[in-house]
Amino acid sequence: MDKHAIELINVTKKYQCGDDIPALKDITLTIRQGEYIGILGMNGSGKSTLARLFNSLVKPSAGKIYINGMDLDSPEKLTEIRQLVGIVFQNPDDQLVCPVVEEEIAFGPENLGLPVSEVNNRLTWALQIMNLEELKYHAPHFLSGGQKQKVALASVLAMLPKYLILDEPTSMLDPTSRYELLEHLRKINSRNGITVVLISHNPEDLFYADRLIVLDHGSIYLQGNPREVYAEVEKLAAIGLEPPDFYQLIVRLEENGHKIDDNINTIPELVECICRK
Amino acid sequence: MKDMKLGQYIHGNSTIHLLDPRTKIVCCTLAVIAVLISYQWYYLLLLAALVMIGIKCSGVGFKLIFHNLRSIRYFLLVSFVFQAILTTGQPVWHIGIITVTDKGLILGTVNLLRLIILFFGSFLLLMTTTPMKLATGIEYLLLPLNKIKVPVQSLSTVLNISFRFIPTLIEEANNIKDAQISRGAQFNGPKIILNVKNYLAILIPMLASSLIRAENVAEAMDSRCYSGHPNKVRMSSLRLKGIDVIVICFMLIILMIGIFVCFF
Amino acid sequence: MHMSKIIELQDLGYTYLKGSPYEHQALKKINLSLNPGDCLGIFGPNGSGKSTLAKILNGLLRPTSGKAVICGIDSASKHFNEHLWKKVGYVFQYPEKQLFKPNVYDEVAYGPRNLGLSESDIKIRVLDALEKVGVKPDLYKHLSPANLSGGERRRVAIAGILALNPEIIILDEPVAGLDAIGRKMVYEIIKNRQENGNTIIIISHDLKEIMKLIDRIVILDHGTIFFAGEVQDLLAVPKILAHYKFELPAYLQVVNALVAKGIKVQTSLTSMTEVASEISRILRGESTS
Repeated sequence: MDKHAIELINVTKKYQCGDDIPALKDITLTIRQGEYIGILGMNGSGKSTLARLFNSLVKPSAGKIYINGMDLDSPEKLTEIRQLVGIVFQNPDDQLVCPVVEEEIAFGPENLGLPVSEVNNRLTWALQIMNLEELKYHAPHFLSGGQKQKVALASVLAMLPKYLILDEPTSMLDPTSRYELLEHLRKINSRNGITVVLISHNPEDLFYADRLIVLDHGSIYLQGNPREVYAEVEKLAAIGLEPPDFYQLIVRLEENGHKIDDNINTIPELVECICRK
Repeated sequence: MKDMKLGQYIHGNSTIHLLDPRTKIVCCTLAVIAVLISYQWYYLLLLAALVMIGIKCSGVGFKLIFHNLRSIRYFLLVSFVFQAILTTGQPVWHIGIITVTDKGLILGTVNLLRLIILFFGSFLLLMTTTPMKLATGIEYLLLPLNKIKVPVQSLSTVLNISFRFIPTLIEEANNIKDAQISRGAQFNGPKIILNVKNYLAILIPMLASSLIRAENVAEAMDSRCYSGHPNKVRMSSLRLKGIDVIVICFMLIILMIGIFVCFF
Repeated sequence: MHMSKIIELQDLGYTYLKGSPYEHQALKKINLSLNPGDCLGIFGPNGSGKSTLAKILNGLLRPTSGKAVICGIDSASKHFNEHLWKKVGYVFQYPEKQLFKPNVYDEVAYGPRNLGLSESDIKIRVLDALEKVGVKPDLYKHLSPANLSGGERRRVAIAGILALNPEIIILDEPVAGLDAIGRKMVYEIIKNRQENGNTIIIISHDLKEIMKLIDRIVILDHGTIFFAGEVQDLLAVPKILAHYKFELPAYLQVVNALVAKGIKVQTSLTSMTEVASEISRILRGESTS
């Protein structure tokens, strides 16, 4: 058991009502602290269920889940687990419960019973890291979708989680807000070492991921680094997914007989590569 | 319905803003009692003057307060009219079978003044106190009810979440109304029954989305370890200062004056 | 030959809550005209006035200044609020939020019923509209919308508007929140309507996806039109694209970057296949054709 990882071992989840089709089938995966993982899948692939398993909002029907060595089954560990594993949901509106931003960010730390000084320290840090100082006294209702989602993220960060799960955090945002949120996530992962597990149906969101897991009908369909996964164009097409334009271009170029180095993952890198040849 | 900014909190640093929320709630309550027990016009004018001074001190601005008053103008008008025609006294004016009396006019004006004082006082409270501080203040004052097993903390959470979501719900209702109007629904048409039926086209979607929202909000709260237990941290941030004591004493004196004026 | 405009806006303005402390001018001096059959994209940051403009176009709001003539109805006439909705269908953002009838048939029939049509005419409209959005009427008409998937509910909501047989169709962020399959279906519906001769207006944030559908584009900013023209004209102004964070498809970005590095690349390419072939030619050392 890894003390610095999330481990799912043969996890299956069946919802009781309806047919006997499991939402998740026999999932085994490990997410190490510090990684940036992208989980890709269409609606109905089980990704939302998977997100809610990580912090015990949903319990598995079979299999075991360990967070930093702790068994998710133990009820007395629930608070500790939910402090370690933070989750940001899709709808920015439905996550903000307090009438003022300042109080929203303090909500989590206060629930943990921390002293006032510590709550204030975390509040200041979270506001600063998400560039939200100006919005400290604003009411959530009057914020834009992108700002609300940043507040939601700040509220989760104030709990000082080691793992950050994000279930389709950008699907209701405009492109500018989406870009900003993804930039924040990249910084949080690279500078603060917080593990990011980003779940989306849009491959473009998973641009910064080191490792991709593709879900289909409740099972892991493909796994690997982005170049490996996106090279399987036919397999992805079979489940309705298209690799991002960038990776499709690389695949076409390689089909035309030009080898592109395996570590090329961004537009500037590709341009450099072409220029060198 | 649209843009209902009635009593919306306006951020500021005035003396009124910085008063403890419990002070403001207690003063508001004392003012309400004072208004209800007295109908001497000079005393009511004193109360009105105090509220105006309070508004000036808070920096909220009279324009905003008067705009809020506009939203309740029909209620005030109806109240005045009913008082004017239903009070017995010397008739002043006849319109068909309806008679306006002199006592009615005086009582109507006095009641109008009382209502305005009540509304201005409430607006002052709501505009200078953040909803969370307000809820914390109410929670503190209601704590003794814990002894008779009233779930004060849970009620307080309900209050907070309501404050947070009411503007959102109003906006959503307006959006759905617009969408249904765009499909031909009439809300101001000649047939009242049809108008009422059309409101179902707003209520049902609102109910559905509220249920989904409730589930999402609960998940978000659980994920941040909400436990429903008393939030000592938030309440310990409330501290009564010297000025709070002075203001409460002042309002108590005003109330005493009111009782004196009323009974002697 | 004079083709009468289906939309004509002259110095159009809209101010919310005029005269109150909350007064806010959402639109200032908008001038815009559309021919029947045009497909227009309206872009712009949050708060730029896009929704306000859309609401004026379907008669929900009456302009507070300037003039609008839409489908022949003048904004000064009393028919503007009462009748324009019959000619201009407005698909709101997340239209599935407005579903409230117990079955799909009644839901789509809501609009036609409000038009006062006979039951037999309503039946034709409903079945026709469901076909147009790719929802099989026989399978779905008795189902409750609550039991459908997100994408299906979106399409039922769109059918509800198409059943009005509008001349103009306005869609506010039609693919928001949908996955790739859902988006494809909605784009097909829009393309279909376009081929049918409807005038289409799409409010969106995603230039990359919508640019394949629209011929003209308008960018609103702080209530005024910042840019109006054809899509090709906009692609030629990278400064504007960068300012509004409009993302070009990756293959076009690669082409622009190569040009910036001084490499001779054809810039009139529009598809991935063309770009891939062009880059292959460069890598093989062949001169560009």
